[in-house]
Amino acid sequence: MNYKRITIFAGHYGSGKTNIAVNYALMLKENEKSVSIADLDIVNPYFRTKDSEEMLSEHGIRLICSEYANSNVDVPALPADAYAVVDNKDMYAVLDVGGDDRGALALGRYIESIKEENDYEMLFVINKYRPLTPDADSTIEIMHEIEDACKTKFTGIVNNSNLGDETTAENVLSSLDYAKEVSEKTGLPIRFTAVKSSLYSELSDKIENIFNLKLFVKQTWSKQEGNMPKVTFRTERCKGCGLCVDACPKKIVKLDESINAKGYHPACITDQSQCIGCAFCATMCPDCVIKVEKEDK
Amino acid sequence: MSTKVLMKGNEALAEAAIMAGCRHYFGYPITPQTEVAAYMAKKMPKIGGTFLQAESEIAAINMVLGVASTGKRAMTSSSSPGISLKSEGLSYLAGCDLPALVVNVQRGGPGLGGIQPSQSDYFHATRGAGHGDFHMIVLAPDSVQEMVSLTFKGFDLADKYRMTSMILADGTMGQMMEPVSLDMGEVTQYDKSWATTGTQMKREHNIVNSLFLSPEELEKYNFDRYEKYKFIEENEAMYEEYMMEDAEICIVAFGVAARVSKNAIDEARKQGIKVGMIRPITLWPFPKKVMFEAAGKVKAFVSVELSMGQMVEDVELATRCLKPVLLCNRVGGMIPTTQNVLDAINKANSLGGDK
Repeated sequence: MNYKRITIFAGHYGSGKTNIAVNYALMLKENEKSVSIADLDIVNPYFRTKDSEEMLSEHGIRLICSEYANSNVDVPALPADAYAVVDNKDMYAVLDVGGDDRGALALGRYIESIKEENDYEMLFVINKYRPLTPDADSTIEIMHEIEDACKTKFTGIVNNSNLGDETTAENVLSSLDYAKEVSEKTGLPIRFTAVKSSLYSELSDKIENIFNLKLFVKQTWSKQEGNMPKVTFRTERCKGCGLCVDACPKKIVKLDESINAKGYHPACITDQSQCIGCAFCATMCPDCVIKVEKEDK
Repeated sequence: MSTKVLMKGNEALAEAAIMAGCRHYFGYPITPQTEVAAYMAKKMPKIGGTFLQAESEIAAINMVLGVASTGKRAMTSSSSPGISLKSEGLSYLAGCDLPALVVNVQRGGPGLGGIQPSQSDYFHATRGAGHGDFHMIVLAPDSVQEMVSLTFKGFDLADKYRMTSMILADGTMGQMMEPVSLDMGEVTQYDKSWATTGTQMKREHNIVNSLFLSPEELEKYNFDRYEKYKFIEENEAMYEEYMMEDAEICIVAFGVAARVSKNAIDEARKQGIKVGMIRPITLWPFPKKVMFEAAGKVKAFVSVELSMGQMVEDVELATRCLKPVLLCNRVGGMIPTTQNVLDAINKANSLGGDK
């Protein structure tokens, strides 16, 4: 996938921008040395980029967000170091902009320099299954509101049509015409169609420019898909080096108080239900102690 | 294929209110319920309704009182600190016997607290919403779909009994996104011959008032109102039972706590522990009868809450303390993990007792 130095994601409230931005930053990191993601959301203090902070830092991606994010100081604030995105030309950056025209206002502050450099894309995230954007015309109306608010034109479209946990392959396929209509009426290309991981293999040969979307923030109240990931430790092999403890993005792996046959404190898991099944611990372990089992639905 | 849309709880609630015929919304922004106001601001002008951002929460609820006096469906919404401010108005609505819908998308407290989810306004909603003897019908959704259906139900019950219905959601319910069906069918019309809509010189004046200086008269109003409450307690309690057929441990939870508990129950069942759940959907009236019946079958109850154990009291009262009631809770904006609930289930399971 080709990309620019700065990628801006904006769109209707609740269209899924944050998750796409996080996934996109991970994709960039596979190809570029220096990648950052800036959270410019001044609208909603719930469910934001900061929720993925540990996972991002694990991947060496710099998170730029207001120091008030996820704190009790419930104020719309922009991070001071967001200017780094504009000024540091060696760094690839993803900008996660808040929803609707109100959210896009925040972008106005940086956009002049971004336009001047002219190495950016501004992508409009759309979801057919959101009640205020069920068809091309209503979607385009919101698009123009956003463009007016941040004084910038979009350069492409991201089709993120989904129904959350209940999304089926059929749901995604039946959104393609909608995305195409938005594209034709605006003259903007569809940069990619985002599809959740569990549907990716089923749809990969049916959709052009498909993007595999992983969900990193697991909600404890959501219906568990299949079984919880299961982590088991071959305790007798563990030499207590603690690499897995550092690798775990959820910080649920620790060294046990007990002592194994070799005299080490072996690794164990504190809260199985928090496990996201990333298997970082197992990958990191030099002694093949850890096994992570996960049902892919 | 069903026609579902992906909505945030707050948006779904606002849309449901509009579909239920509410054309008058008065609010004041506060996280985590602001989307209700934002949605109303966008939608109401387009359909000839009123969206008004009041100068304060107190003003907003008194505007609701005004509209409710005319027999129109009116609502206001806020989150915990804002609901405290509305307390006076809630008491006046009760004193005037007016139907209204009040939404509380709770956040952590007390005081300004935090902005993350909580259920610590349970006492306020079920017992002490304001001064004087009164109750509100309190509905606790556990999904975005129920944010829709209980908003419908809330307006209906309010009209039917001429009293306030409160949707007691938690921040999670307001903020989470889930697919919903908005197909709720026809709106029921209720007799509103008491409404102050102008006499046209053809009838006696209708008067909406909560001031009664004669103690005899005021006593009668209170007695009558409690007759009505008694009827509601006997007829309107709603709950959902989950895997209760053979349960030896009964979880009691509502809202997001019930969602987490379901996951924990599924997990515990795999380990062979017979656990089920009674999820109160109405917190007032509390589903006492089913709870009391369960007390004869299970060996312990576990109340899973995002508060310091406020619902424990209702479980103990409903079961007349026949069985121990354990508390599994997180507060301050924290949500219990599946593991937290599993630990509590294991603890309850290790308790003695023959039944």
